[in-house]
Amino acid sequence: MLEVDHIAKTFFSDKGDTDAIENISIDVKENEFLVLLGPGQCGKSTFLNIIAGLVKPTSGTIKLDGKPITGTDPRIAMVFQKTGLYEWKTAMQNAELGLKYRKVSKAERREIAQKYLDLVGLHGFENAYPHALSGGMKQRVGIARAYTANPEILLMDEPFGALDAQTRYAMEEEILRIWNAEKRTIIFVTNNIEEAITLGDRVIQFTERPATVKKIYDLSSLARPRSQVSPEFLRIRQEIASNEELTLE
Amino acid sequence: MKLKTNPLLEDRSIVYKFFYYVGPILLIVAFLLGWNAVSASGNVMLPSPAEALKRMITIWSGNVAKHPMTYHVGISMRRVLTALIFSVVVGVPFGIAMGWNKTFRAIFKPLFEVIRPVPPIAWVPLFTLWFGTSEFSRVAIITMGVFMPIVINSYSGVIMVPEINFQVGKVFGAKSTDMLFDVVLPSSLNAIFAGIRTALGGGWMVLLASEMLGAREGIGFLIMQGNSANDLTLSIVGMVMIGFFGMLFAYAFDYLERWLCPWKRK
Ligand SMILES: Nc1ncnc2c1ncn2[C@@H]1O[C@H](COP(=O)(O)OP(=O)(O)OP(=O)(O)O)[C@@H](O)[C@H]1O
Ligand SMILES: [Mg+2]
Repeated sequence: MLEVDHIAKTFFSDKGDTDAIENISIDVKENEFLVLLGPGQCGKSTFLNIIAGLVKPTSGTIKLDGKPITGTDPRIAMVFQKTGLYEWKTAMQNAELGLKYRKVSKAERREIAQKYLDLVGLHGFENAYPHALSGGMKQRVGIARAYTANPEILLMDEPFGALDAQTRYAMEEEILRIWNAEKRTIIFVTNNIEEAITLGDRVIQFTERPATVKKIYDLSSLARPRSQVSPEFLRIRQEIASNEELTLE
Repeated sequence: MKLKTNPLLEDRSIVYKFFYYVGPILLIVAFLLGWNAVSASGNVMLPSPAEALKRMITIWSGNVAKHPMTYHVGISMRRVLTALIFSVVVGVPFGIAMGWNKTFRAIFKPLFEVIRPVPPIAWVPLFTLWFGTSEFSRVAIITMGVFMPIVINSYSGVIMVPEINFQVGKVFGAKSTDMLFDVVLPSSLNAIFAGIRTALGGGWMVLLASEMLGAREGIGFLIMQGNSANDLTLSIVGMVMIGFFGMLFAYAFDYLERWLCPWKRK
């Protein structure tokens, strides 16, 4: 459904040019949970921002359902690395954002946002402002906000990267539960191997910057929930790790 | 799951509570005692707090400089408030426009940077020449003092809106007007309020200068009057009045901000 075709991105600046992405082509399948795994600073956010229409690629095209997309698109929503919640809006008002800007009536958008706030487990917290929410709860609002916009594709940029390990495991289970309840295409970025194997139908491993596809792992045969100590999990983990370039900066 | 609570307010110890509520009062008492000691020592000419209080009571119960005190306070407040309200109504949109629109910024920013360093009081000669020693002159001078910080802060509030706020808006389909009123404006409210607060402080300063312009009433006028009539107590009463009403304004303003920005209530 989403075709990423020969995307490359170079940032030009006075201090010198930065090649962030070099020739990435990916076909994303409908309703798959696709994980992009890459080391820090390799260009993961840049790549998601290109799909989201926030950054223009230097070359290449993105096609959704066969037609090229330029700029942001109502069929694509995003969960941001640093939550990006509006601190002056309540959980409910944040969740409704996409529908509000697309002129859906107040009653209707309330109802839809409520459904997703309930789905992410925030029933009773509708009127809380972000500053009163824990990191995990904030990212739940971020997920509800993305779902409420009713996209075909959800981009998630290291959504659990800032959480403590305990909360992170819990949120990994949560996102799978949510995705099972409401199937959408998810493109999930992480730099954490365990997280990638726990979540993905497929895992695409990126190289160091400039990012390009190093290897694709098909995990669709690995049953969920996935125990992180099962022999199969450990075997894949070993395989992916041996392909990581361990560089010291 | 639970909401986060403010730990400072959660487990207040007795010591914390004591200093929180009693501390400020103790400090004011200490200030008054110090004042009294200096005045009693006779080394400098300074009326004691008791004298100032006595004078304040006679002033408030009778007339001073031909008018009741409420008249002086009222007219000074009116001058500051007129300048402030004008500056907020014109300056906030102006500053936001300067931050939001590149062309607008390119045209107006240089002019602002030229006017900004000129002290508001420096406008006195010019304004007196143009408008005489009128009420208009006085308000205009105060306006010169409060307008700048309001414009500059609104402007920097807008240019400092984090990039992520725009990205979120774009992804979720914000049009240009949504971006301005639903994202940029609330993001910069903090800076706008800080600007108004600074402006208010500056406003009281310029008030004094403006009331030198042939005013026959106002708190600033009373302070000058005390000076020329060698009536130090009157000047001190004026100072206390400015301090008191300045504080009242600041608190009223905090209240207004909390009311306008419910998300900041902890
Ligand atoms: N707007 C920009 N202008 C110039 N360089 C940029 C810009 N955005 C990103 N870069 C550079 O591109 C490279 C990739 O950045 P990006 O944020 O995409 O990496 P990332 O993989 O998401 O990193 P992280 O693991 O920290 O999230 C970095 O070297 C960064 O400095
Ligand atoms: Mg990133």
